[in-house]
Amino acid sequence: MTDLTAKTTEVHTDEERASGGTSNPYLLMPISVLFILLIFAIIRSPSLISSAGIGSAIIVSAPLILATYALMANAISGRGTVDLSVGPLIGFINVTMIQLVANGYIGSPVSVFIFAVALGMAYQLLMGLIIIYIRVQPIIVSLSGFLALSGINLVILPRPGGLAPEWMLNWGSGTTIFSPVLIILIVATLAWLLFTQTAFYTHLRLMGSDERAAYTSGVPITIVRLGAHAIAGMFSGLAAITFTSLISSGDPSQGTTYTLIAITAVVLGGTSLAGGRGSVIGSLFGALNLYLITYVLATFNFGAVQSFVTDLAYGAILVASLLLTLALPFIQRHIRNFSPLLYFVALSVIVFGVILHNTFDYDGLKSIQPVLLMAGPLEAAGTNAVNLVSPGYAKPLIFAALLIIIIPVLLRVLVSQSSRKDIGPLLAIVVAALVLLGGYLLSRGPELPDSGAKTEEVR
Amino acid sequence: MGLDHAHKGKAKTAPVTISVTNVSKFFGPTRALDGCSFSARAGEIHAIVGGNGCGKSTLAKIISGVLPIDQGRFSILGETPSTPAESRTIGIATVYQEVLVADESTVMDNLFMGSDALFSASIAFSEKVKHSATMMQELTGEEIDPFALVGTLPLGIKQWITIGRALLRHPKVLILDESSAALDFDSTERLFTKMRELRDKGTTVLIVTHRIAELIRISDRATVLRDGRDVGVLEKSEITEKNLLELMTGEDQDDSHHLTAPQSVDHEVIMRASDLQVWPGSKPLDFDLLKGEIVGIAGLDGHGQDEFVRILAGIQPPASGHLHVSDRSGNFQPIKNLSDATDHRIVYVSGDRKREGVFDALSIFENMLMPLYREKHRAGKLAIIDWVTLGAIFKRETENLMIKFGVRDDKITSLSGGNQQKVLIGRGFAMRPDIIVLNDPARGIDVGTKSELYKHLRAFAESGKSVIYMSSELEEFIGFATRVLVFRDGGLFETFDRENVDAKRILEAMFGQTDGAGQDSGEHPSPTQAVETDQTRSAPETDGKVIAPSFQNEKEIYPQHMIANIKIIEFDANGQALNREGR
Amino acid sequence: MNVPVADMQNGNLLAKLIGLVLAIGLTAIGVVLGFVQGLPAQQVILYAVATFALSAWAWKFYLQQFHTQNSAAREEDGPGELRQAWEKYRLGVLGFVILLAGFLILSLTVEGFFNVWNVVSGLILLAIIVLTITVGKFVSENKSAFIGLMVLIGLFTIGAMNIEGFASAVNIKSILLFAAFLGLACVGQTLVSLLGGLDLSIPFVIGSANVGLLYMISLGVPPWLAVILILLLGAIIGAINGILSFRLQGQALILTLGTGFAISGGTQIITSIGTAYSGNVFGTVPKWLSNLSAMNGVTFGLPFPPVIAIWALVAIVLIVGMRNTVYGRYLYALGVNRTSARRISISERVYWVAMYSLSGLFSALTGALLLGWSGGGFIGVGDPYLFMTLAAVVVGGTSLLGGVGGYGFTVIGVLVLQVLTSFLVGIGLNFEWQQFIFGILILPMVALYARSPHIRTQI
Repeated sequence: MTDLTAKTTEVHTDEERASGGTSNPYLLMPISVLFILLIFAIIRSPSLISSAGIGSAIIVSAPLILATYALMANAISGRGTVDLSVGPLIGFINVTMIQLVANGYIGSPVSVFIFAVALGMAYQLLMGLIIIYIRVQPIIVSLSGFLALSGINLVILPRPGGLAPEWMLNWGSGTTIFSPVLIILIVATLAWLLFTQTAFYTHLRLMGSDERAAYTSGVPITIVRLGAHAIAGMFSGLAAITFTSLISSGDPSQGTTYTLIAITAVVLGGTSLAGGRGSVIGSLFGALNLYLITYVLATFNFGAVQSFVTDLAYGAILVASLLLTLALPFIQRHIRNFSPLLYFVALSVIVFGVILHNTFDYDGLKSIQPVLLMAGPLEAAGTNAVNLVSPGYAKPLIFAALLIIIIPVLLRVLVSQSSRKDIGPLLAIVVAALVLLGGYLLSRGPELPDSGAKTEEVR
Repeated sequence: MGLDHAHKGKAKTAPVTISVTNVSKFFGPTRALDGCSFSARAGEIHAIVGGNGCGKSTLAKIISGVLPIDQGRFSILGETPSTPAESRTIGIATVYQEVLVADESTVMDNLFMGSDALFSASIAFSEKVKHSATMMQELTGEEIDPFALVGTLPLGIKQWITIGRALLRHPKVLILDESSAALDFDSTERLFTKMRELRDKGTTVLIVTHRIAELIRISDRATVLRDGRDVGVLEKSEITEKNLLELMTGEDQDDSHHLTAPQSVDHEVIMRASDLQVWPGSKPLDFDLLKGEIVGIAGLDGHGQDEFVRILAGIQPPASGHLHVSDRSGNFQPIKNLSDATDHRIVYVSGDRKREGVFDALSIFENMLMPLYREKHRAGKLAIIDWVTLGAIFKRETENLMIKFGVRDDKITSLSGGNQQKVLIGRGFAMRPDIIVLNDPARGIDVGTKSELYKHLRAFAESGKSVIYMSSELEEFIGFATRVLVFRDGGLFETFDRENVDAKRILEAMFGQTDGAGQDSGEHPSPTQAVETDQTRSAPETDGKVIAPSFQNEKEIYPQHMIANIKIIEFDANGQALNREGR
Repeated sequence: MNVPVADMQNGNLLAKLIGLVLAIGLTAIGVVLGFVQGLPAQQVILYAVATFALSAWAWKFYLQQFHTQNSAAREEDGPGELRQAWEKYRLGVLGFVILLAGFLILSLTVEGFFNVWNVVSGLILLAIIVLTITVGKFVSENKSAFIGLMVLIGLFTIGAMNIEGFASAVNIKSILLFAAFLGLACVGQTLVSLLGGLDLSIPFVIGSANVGLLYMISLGVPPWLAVILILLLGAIIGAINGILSFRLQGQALILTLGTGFAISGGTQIITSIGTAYSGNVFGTVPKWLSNLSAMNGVTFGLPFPPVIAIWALVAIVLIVGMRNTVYGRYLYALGVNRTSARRISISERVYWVAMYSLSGLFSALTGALLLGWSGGGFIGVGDPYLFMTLAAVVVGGTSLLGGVGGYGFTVIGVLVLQVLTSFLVGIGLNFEWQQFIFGILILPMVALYARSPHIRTQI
């Protein structure tokens, strides 16, 4: 009765127009934080933008990103499924893999991949079956799994050690961008994006948002929930492989922190822990944000308290982003037609400005005579320009000019496309521009010394 | 009309699509269905009617495959679905009472929920967009963006989404369980049009409803349930209020209400509401409550009467306006929230026991005296409960109300619904209130308990206290309520007092058939005047059988002869016709 | 009662036969294993007789309790007699077989497992299970407490028989000492879960209080003042937890995990700035504090540490208070039905925040007392309490959904866990195994007391 009357009141008070809102403000947060952190990181340590810098960033953040994907699959499925056991599960796969490799049971890449993914899926399916048939709250099941796995990990491998399969050893060096880890990451992300296009994903989201509605509409909720767990298990397996390649050994005690940062990343990425909402890009950004936080904090050199500062930061960010989910409905009401992509493009232009500014070779500039600086651009057209002007500062100038052209073109396209739902062409342009710019920056190679970005791994 | 007849002829020969034989369903000790049988044919609109708790929603859920049956047989189109997914493949589409939508997803996804296979979509994306846009346009009459997030849409649209979801499946059997509850008048008309279209195509449309007027207009046949059993099937021509009510209640109501309602002795105002708006935009109302009177509140479901009593009890704030109560020294104090109300000895007793009444896992004793703990304790801030004093109060109240129980430490759930309600009313009385506000307390309790309840409330009012009594069973007011306030569209529509308290006219007022003091206040400034006008004016002359969809001023044409024959109509706040246990 | 008498007798005879076969089987296995192990013949015979008698008795008891009713109501034209017997005694037979199999497997795999004490304790276990099932049928209220007590008795008896020094005064004292710490840490968890929440910040607050107290003392703050300040800080942290999580009750678990990390990180930053030892703080613990919780502490001249007395006092106050004060009853009211409670003006927010701050207070108290026990500050001192508090609450039988249970239950849970820990340590299982076992233990316990309803019933 009260339900009904409450509804009636709602109808009367609801000022919203029937057209409703289509915008997704949940990406606002991860994108903003990403760029803020990126600017910070670049200013503090420009070496991030170098082949080695990005390479190590990929290596270090890959397990986290994959763990975040795993968590997201579960979180979308609703019932407050926050898989606390994701960290210990990665550890479990890691230590069992190390032990099996050491004893020669598995060794080839294929067998290792199959083993990791199958183990992750088996565990997650077991968890799913308990949730579905014994009907214990998922959070309790995952907590129980957390404890059991943390314990058994230490039994299997009492202290960090062991050796990853040989073919994996050089993955973790992180000296170049194009490592196998990147391929895993790209394949996983693409797989997720493809997955979001399937009907299964729609079922998953609908079930997560309102399980009763899904059940009564004939969505096979048991299979869908198990599917979500299977996917989570798969990504946990991949996360474990990248984790193993990162540390090149076994470590049974990484559980707690990995769980915490992965949850933080998921929440920060705009996934609703209540279910039904989540985005790949958001999770990716969320995980990258956490990597960047560690990175930025590492540049401050806190000494002995370094890990505590990161703990503090993770905890605070987790709480803050949870609290922010309370404010998001208000934001949603006010920013009706927020376009995450547009926002992303706008901010990335700023960040590229900062990158250019920071990686710009000022020293080279100083050594040049002021007269030359004036004349340099002009003489660049000359036949002997190469001798006179260092390309170190000519190229940025050219790029700046290009930017000046690109931005109005972009804006023009944006305006013309703004009424359409499909933003494919725009996306293509943006991606192309980013790839070009990235390619340019990398082609300049590492100019500054590697300031240990690689060695500081995500704790 | 002619159309209807033509269809009736066709339906007679059409094949039976739903057949339910001797089905029983138990929820623990309660019997929701107890040997119920019924059948429906292709190409008819079949209504399932019955009082509150008669099992009609359970029946709808069984046919949809949500609930498994305990005994009996049933088959729909030759199959017996055991899950909603199975029922969907058979061709059954159900719109449930509750608005079941996924808030985080788009309109389109919600419309096509469950229509896709596990991995591949049933139809192309662009098709889906097109279909959902046209479907929503057709249903709501306005353009809805198929990509809008459902959580941002108003409730009426959400309800349409659930209906649209069912229609998009082109069902062979469509079940609508109280689906017009959240819809406004125009929407209901559009829904009816849709239903007729489907029927003409040979679909069995099953409606489960409490809205008798709607049912009479739309349905081709009706099965009446009572206490989990089917008690009769009415053909189109037999579907009248009289027949329905006779079947629903089982027997003619005996006019045992010869008592006169208590009257205020000194006409002292104890509570005063001025310019009170129940909802933003609804008509403001003024209301004085006198000492020693019982004020009945009535209205069709969702017309603001429920909110009104909640406002009076301080549970929800009014949209605007003021509410004052006279304290013991005669000064008027504002009531802004629940603690103000408690301080000024206003207590609230809800009929929705499970949701806002009992504490499941706690004892009978605790359930009754929980609010008194903070009054009856010792040792100051330590707040040790004075079990002895409370024990005495418990004994007194249980004896007064004649509550039957085993041990006082038994769980409240060991009692029957009627006794649970008595405990809650005892809780109210134990707080020694000046005003007791009851929100449909008689819901689902048996006749004996009900009459005891009236006796206690009468005695309470006669001691100079006041009672606000919201009920959906209109005959409860007769000989019991001093005045009856009828709500419509969030405002006070009509007031009846003393001998004018008459179930028939209250019902008319609820449907907006009387002049209504609330409709044009210039002409009828006071409730009493409105009543007088009402007496001199006859009900609209529509001469009987017209059940055609012609509407003026959103008032439903109500056949005169039907009204004349109404003995009782019971609506609770849900608008569901009430169950009468034990008759 | 129209069942032929002969048939009834027949059934009973069959049941007796099954029992006889089981008993003979058990005895035979015992004899064979006894001879294999080379025990003296007299001993083997003695145990064989004992085994036979006990199992025969247990079977008879089982029959009396369970099957007098059933055999009376037998149908005449049912399936074959053997099948009928199987149907009737399936549970009993299966249980026996499983126990037997477990015993056999352990005997064959673990060397020296088959000895007198194990056989006897196995039989005691059997007796206790039978007793629990039988008597448990008559206990409808507080079943979890009853089961808990039975488990406690069983564990203790078996432990006392199998482990040298298990029942000694020293061991009992140490069990009680650790139970006191755990019990105090569980106060908050119990109160919070009575409201339907969870507090995962407890271990972090314990660790922070532990380190913070010593830090304050080493700064020169008078110890008594430092203790008061720490308790106050704990309560404030708890209140913050409560305020933050009130609007996010579904995510209280994640949120408190976040605040926990932030708090422990923050404390460590404060305490380790300027020191070389991160995570540890050194200082002198005042004597009275050591006496409070050290094994050799003295309470008013009696030889047990005062912390046990403190715990007993807290437990009594809480148990009595929850029953007899307004606050206690209103807490239950809120846990059972929020809306009903709101209708009688019980403020949910006040109780929610108050319970979280009590949780913080008691965590801080535990941390302070643990300092007295260990003599040195260590941030990780609270780590085991992450799962122990939760496990104790769940094992005791307090529902995590709120409203059912109480501190008395938790006391039983705490004792069960501590005796189990002591037992596991006694049979040589280390911390990792304990964690694993506790993790696994939580699931069936929650499944017993707090299952979610099936989706069918929610529509």
